Amino acid sequence: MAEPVRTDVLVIGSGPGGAVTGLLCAEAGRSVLMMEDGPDLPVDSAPPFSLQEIAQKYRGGGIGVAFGPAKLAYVEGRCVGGGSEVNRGLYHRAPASLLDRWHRDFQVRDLSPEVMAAHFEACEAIARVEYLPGEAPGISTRLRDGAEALGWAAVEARRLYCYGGESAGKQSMSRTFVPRFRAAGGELRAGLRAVRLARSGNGWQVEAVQQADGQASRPVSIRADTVFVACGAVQTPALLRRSGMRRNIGSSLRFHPMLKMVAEFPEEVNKPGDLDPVHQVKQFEPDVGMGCSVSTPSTLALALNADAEAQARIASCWRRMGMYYVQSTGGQAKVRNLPFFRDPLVTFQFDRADRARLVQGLKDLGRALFAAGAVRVYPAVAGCPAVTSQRELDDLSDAIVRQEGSLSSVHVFSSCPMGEDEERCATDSYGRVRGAEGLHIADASLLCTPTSVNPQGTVMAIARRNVLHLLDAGVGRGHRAQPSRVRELVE
Amino acid sequence: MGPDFAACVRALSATLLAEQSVLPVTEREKEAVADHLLSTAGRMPDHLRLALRAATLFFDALAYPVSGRPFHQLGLARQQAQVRRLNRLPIGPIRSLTGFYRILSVHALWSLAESRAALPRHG
Repeated sequence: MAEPVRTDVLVIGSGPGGAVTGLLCAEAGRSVLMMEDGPDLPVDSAPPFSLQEIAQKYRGGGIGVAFGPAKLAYVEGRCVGGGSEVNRGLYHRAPASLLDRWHRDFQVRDLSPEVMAAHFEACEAIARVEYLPGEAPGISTRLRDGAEALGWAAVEARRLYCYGGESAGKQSMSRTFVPRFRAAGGELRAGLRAVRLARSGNGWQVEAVQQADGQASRPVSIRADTVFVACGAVQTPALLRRSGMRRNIGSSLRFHPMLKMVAEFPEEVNKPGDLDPVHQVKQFEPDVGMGCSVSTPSTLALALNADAEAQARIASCWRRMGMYYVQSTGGQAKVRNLPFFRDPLVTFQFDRADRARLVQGLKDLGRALFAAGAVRVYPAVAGCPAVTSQRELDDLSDAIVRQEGSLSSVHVFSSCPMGEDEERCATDSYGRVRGAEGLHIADASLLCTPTSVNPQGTVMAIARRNVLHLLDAGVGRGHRAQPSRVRELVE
Repeated sequence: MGPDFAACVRALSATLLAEQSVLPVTEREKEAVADHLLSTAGRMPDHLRLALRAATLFFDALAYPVSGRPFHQLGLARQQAQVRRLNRLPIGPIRSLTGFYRILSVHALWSLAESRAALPRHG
């Protein structure tokens, strides 16, 4: 094996948590290596949600399954920028009630809305967040109209997206934080997978594998004073557990379990080239949220894959159809490594009460869609037919509760919660792994519970808060450290 | 010849595409869908990949008792009959296997149709 690569700070993962962490460390004068398992591709290297994008940028070819009495399908990004490259960029700051709950239940310090506001603002200044210019697409306004007709709270969410000007386009990490990281002197290596971490002297040694297309993979050794693990809420606990760290790691993984429903309207609501839908129903949060999904013919067909009649309708009138979701915060999962396998196993518990809550949400979603003028709704649940009235939908409840498949999630978090409660938290309030000096977590694993809202903004703001706290304390200070610059960043 | 993973995936994909009559399917698209299934199977998490491979080979071999040949060597009509027969059995894993391949096939076929129609994507 070649000589170990040497760096002050190693960031494993380049998603929202890793990219924010890497940039601030580089700007503070640390020598920083950011490694990413997946490839380094521009955000527009493939059309959004296309087969090419799934092949290029999703982990496991887009196949992630949490096993248990109820199976749940989930997806993770695997490319420079991580999940920010493949999600829709819907953006919310963490609600004050959530931050208060994390402070109260997990004893997380310095987490008031006032403290966090500065971190949200700073991240939003780099990865810009905008409302849609003008009226939202029809599938989006239909949900809003239905909610309003029922007297429910609904909002238009901002997106990590610039709708015009020089920066026009999605504000993913590969277009925002990562270029700044490189400009600040940070080094990014794509196709480099961390296998194991071990304490070495006063720092850490990381065994990794460099992969390149068409070439044999080769081992790489990296020595760093400080390591930030930011591989996402499934891969981070898998890496730490593989490295012998297990206390409160990987045993509290959470999702936003989701069911989908397609609605058919009497007029066109879904035009080719429409901007992404942005409306969400807030009436039932934090327990249950609702919103609109991307509704191309292929995503509609994917949702209704087992229903031949529905597919015929998609072929003839997909422009009158839109897809919607209802998500809850129920269930809990574990991440465990299996002997002889590289990829971790995720197991998931979702009891009947969790499922009943989600099914009630699906019925409420149907109520809003019928109130918005839908003539037919199709629950995306195997074996459940399309229905044309709320009463018919209510009658399906038991069938949907019994049907164990059809759950999915695009949000994954909480596998290594932060806080001062040592009985349940993997790290302290700032992401320091207990009993492992110089080792930190900097991704969605740290979030104590599901956020109810889209979590990327919270991941970025928490990462910024944590890394500034650590830099201020002198973490990762090597030969290029500039304490005055750290102070400037903190202030 | 005995059970064969790639051949079985190609045969099952063609059978599932023939089940649907909504979209026309060219030979090239049939190939592209099968390629997508094999490529996805090659990328999925390693423990799932192994389980899928074993289940697919088992599925291929299940045709022996009835036909004396693996599934991938049957004609289309007998393949369709075999899929219908197996899906009627109260064996969850078999339905999960064909359901998994159906999801991937349907999504791939519609994605190809979208590309053919050159529909602009949401942004």
